[in-house]
Amino acid sequence: MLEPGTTAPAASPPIMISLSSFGAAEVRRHGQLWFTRLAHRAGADGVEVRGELLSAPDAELPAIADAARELGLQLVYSSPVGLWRDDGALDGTALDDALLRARSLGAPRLKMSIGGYRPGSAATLPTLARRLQGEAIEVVIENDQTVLAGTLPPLQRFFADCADAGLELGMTFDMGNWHWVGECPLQAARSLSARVCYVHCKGAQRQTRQWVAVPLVESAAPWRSLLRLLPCDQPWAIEFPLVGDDLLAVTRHHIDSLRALATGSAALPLAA
Amino acid sequence: MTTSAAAEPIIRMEGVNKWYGQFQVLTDINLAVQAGERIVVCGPSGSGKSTLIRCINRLETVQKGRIVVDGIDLTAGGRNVDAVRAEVGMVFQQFNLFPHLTILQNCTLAPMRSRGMKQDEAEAVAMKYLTRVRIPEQANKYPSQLSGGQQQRVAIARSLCMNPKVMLFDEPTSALDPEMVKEVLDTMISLADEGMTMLCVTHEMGFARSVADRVIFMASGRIVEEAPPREFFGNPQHELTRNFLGQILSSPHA
Repeated sequence: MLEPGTTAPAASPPIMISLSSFGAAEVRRHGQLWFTRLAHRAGADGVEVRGELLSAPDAELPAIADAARELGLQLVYSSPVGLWRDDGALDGTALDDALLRARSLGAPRLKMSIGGYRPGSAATLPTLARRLQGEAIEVVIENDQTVLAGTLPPLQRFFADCADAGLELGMTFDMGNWHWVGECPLQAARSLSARVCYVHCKGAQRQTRQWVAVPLVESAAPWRSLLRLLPCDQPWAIEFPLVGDDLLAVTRHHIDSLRALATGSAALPLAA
Repeated sequence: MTTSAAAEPIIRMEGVNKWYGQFQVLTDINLAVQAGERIVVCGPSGSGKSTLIRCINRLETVQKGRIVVDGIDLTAGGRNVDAVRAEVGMVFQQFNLFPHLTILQNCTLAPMRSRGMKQDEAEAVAMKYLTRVRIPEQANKYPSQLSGGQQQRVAIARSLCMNPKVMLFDEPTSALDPEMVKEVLDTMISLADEGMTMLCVTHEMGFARSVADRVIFMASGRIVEEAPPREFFGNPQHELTRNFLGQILSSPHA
């Protein structure tokens, strides 16, 4: 029972971990099941399984599915292949393969980029709509780090084309990727937030020759303003490097910090 | 580094040539390394740099030439190999820890078998070096429970447990995610600061600039150029060196 005059703390969105956060070499060394269990011990509500880091998908995906069921973890499957090929044609094989893998994982959500989608590709949207009709797995579109599939104009055009074709797809909003392609994340959030159903929490820092992903608090970007523009009831996923001699403690710290931030009780700094 | 010009080098390679079948992988290698010297060996893939350092503890044999390490002629064959391997530690790209042994057991195995050390003494030495590489708390875990960076630090500690006079590093950070490279390089820098003789094959040019006394560039099995880092990076003499540096220094991870 709350004291008079107090308000209930806001509920936290599910806090997930994109398993690529643990580093490609590390994930290939230990496997995504190992990191799924670690994420659970650290307090994550779910994990995003990465297609590009699977070495034996037929064995790994069902094993992760079993573990997630046992541990009560939410799942997202991330396909590294774009939905449209470089020539602008819908890549039905890539979609089918990704759906198959998501199904094998038991993931209700599949994340893909639009790949080589271009104005002429709009004619393929009804085909995509038919393929997804009755599909239990939800396809969500991510802004990646390419000009074609990660800058604002093609994504705006894509979602407008989808609306014209009667296709409603949600979006994974990657907070950091906009920097890689020279876009303003705030402008992107103002334009796309209504479609956002999954947020990749990634800060960005410019180093000598490249952008690098960092925890939000170390970001050169206005991440607090950005989060205010995005829906606060959709899952947040950590997608910045998680590294440390006590990896469990580091991971737990970042999960707790994001959760505290989401519920407005953020006294914790977001850097380990 | 202060060494007398007349001091006998701790490693001497004279006219070393090596073939894999018809393919000559090392050609006319002449190299003298003084005690305490830090050398970085770089070059494109297939240039013979890993083969060169693997010859120094006879993981590779040579068909022609002479290799003398700490006064022991490796090319004379026989029991000299064991004597040299006791003095020369080696760290590999893939760590090469025994997966069925704990970290502590990995570190005590060689001192107990090769040096005849008693278990409690070997464990004390192992804990000293695991502390030195900042992971004493991992002693009772197995390699599969550690990150790549931690495993590589264990591999360094394991080598140090043999109290080597020379440490060889064969691309020690190549199998690591970028975020883990620093923890391994920091460990190597601290070793260098303490005067360890080191030969390191690496593409980490920042490490070469700040730590090496001399940088050696190899191509097609030959030493093409060698110079102190300032000279090597500031005024490379050979076109092959310039091309290599141009490529590697423009990569984001250089």
